[in-house]
Amino acid sequence: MRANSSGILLAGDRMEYRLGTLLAEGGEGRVYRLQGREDVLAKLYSEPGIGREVKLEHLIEIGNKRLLHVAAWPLSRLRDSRDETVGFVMESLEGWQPLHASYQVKSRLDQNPYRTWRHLVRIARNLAACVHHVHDAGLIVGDLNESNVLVSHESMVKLIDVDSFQCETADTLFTCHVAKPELLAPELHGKSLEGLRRSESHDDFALAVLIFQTLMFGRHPFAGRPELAGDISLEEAIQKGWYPFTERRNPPIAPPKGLEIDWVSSEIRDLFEQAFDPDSPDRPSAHAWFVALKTLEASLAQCSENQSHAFWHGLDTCPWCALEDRWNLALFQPKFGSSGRQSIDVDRLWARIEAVPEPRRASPPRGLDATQFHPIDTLATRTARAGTPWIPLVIVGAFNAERHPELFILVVAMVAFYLGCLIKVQFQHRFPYNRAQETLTELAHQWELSASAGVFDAEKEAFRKQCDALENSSQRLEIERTKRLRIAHQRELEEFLSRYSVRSLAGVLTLETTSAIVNTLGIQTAADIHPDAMEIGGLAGMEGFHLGPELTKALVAWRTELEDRFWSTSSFRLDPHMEREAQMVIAQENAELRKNLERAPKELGELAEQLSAAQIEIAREALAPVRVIQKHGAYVAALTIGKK
Amino acid sequence: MSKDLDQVPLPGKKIVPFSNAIFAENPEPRCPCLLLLDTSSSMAGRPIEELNTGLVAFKDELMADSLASKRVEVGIVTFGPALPVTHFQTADTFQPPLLTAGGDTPMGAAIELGLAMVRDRKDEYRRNGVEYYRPWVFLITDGAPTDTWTQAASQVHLAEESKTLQFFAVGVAGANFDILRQIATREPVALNGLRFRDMFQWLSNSLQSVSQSRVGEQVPLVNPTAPGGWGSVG
Repeated sequence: MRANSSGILLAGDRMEYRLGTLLAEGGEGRVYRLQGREDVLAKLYSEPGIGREVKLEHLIEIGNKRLLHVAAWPLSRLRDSRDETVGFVMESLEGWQPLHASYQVKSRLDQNPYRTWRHLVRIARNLAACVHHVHDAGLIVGDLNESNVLVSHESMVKLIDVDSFQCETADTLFTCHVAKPELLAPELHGKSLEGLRRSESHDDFALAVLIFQTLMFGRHPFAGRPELAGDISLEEAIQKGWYPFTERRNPPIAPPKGLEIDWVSSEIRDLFEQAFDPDSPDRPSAHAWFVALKTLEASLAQCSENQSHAFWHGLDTCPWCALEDRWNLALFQPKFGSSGRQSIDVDRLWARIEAVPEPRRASPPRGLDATQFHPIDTLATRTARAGTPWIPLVIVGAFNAERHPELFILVVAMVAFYLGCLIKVQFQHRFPYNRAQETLTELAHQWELSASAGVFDAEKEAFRKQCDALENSSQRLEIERTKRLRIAHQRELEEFLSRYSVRSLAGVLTLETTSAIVNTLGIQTAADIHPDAMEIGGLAGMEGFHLGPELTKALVAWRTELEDRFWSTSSFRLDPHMEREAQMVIAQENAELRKNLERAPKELGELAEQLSAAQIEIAREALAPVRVIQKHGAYVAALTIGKK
Repeated sequence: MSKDLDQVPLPGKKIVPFSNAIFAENPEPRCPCLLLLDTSSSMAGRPIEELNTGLVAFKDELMADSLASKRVEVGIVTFGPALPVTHFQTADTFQPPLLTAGGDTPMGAAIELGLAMVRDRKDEYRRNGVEYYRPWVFLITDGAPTDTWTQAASQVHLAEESKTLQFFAVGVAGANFDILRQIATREPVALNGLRFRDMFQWLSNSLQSVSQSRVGEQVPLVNPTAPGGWGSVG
């Protein structure tokens, strides 16, 4: 175990620094925060040495504004109590990410979800600028690789590990003796790097590899599908110039499926060709890369289907749409809503809907109430109204028929007269009146369904909701994501919940209760609580134990609380497949919504016309029954006199 | 409890059907590491608990290095019986399984199964144009094989000779080191006590340096049998 030097006071060139917490540890040394300072860090060597001190002094001396801008330059030496140089102070780049986190699809979507290919081109261009300035100062990076290039959220690039750069004082050459084999120029393979003078061209090879990786979603330019039996290592492919995309040679390696060199402009393609040709004497310089990438950046087109797709305008169709389909994953993440474009678009759609002329707003036909007519009382209505009081008289007449036949005849005559009046009234007035009323009710019903302006209002409201949905695409996408994330990590959730024993609730519930829950219901941990299966009325366990509704609720609440805690502390991210799935769902829904909304004005206009026509038609149909009611209403009214 | 004796596979994660798309989203060169873990009944109790804790620490260690988390691929085969528990996947998607002990020690079958998994995985790398480092196979056992192991041993020797993989054997107390010596070409290491955690930390560190090796920078493996290490000469 190495001692942690946190808290130690060290002397800088102009002031003293106190070491804070240990930030990172590598083969070369350790990086510490400095107490009270957020802008700078300290790097301490694991093995200080004389040569190091001279090199460091030289680097600090030549540090200028431009170099400080492109690299975490050493700012001051750090000396310990014995006046020995143990390290140096440099700019703090906390929050910056290594280059590989920028070119890897997954980490990019995690950390900078809205970066487009335009950003990747810019990062490549900024990297070229950094290397150019280092070369311009007469220095060589040497160990240029994906981990010591850092990228800010604004796509700015800085190099770190400056103390390993190759530099030269008047009498000494300080070489860089390390390199990653997959970034090492072919002519250096197999050579000892100790004491070897490296050139700008060596850096330019690594630069070309890193630019390729940045533009091609992290693929190494020499990685491909070998057409020979046996393994081909990256080093071998580099040495032999087996760049799978080359048109100059015939390498036994095919490009990885789906990856097209045509995504980049012919100018960039030529630069790659030149950089990866082992026989080519001069590799493109950092400056050449800078110029070409700047041109590429200025010639990007915007995909009409997906606003997160920027591509080289030399292509007819968007390559990222095709690639996302092919690989079935999201390469980029569209930004919905907040850009303002979406909302302007929705406003336009809604304005067109609002402009549709409304249908007529007439009142529907209504049945007429008989009581509103002034009754016309005739003999017939009066007789029919009299009704039941006749019955006892008929019975009395019938029983006395033998003794008073004349009375019986009178009774029969009266009954006959009554029935005659009743039938007359019913057939002449009541039945037509009722039929007309029914027709009117039927027409009113028809009105509600197919003629009322309310039909139009309901339809318009439905379109308004679709507008809202379209405008809230980002929220809907977030919901889709959350849904998928929760399904994908259900197992981890259950594992998390199973770590919470019901017995730990002993402080809140009584010991007997928790024991009963565990023993008779078999609920050991929070994972055994299934909110959907829990009955509101409580749970009956063995041995007569009954979990009351309150306790059930409390247990469910406990699980919910734990679940919330789990999700709020989890750092799960959707993988690019699921991200794409979620995006596709929203994109499809949006296409459907947009189609509906584009059609809406025409549909609504037609509907309004239909409704207005139907209103007129129904009103016309209602005229006849209304006339019937008006004709017979007075007689029907007479039937109900005194019946209220 | 008899339930504990049943071998229950717990796959790390559902295998994503679009295998080539995994390489599309992460084309980093791979450093496959296969763990052959003895889960026979003699491992029951503390040994298997420590092994499980060690696996969790292994993932955490790998995750701490963002490049290693995308390059090192972990595959697990347990034996008692021989089962593929985790198919090769990078550390960032690897979920440490919860192993249970039970059954006998079919080490030979497990080695053969494991080597076949490594071969298949390498084919997949090749098909998808992804580079890879020489695979590591790490055998951990506390007993002796209960099946025939000579076939497995000759496969290991052949693979080591053709430099297609590196095979390491670790014996927990009770392991038959004579047989381990015949299977592995390297000297097997005896685990001190139950220091699985330290062992996995060492493994993670070694894989990190392998997966990011540099020309001119010597990254000698830290000798686990050095004083204070997790192992001793078996």
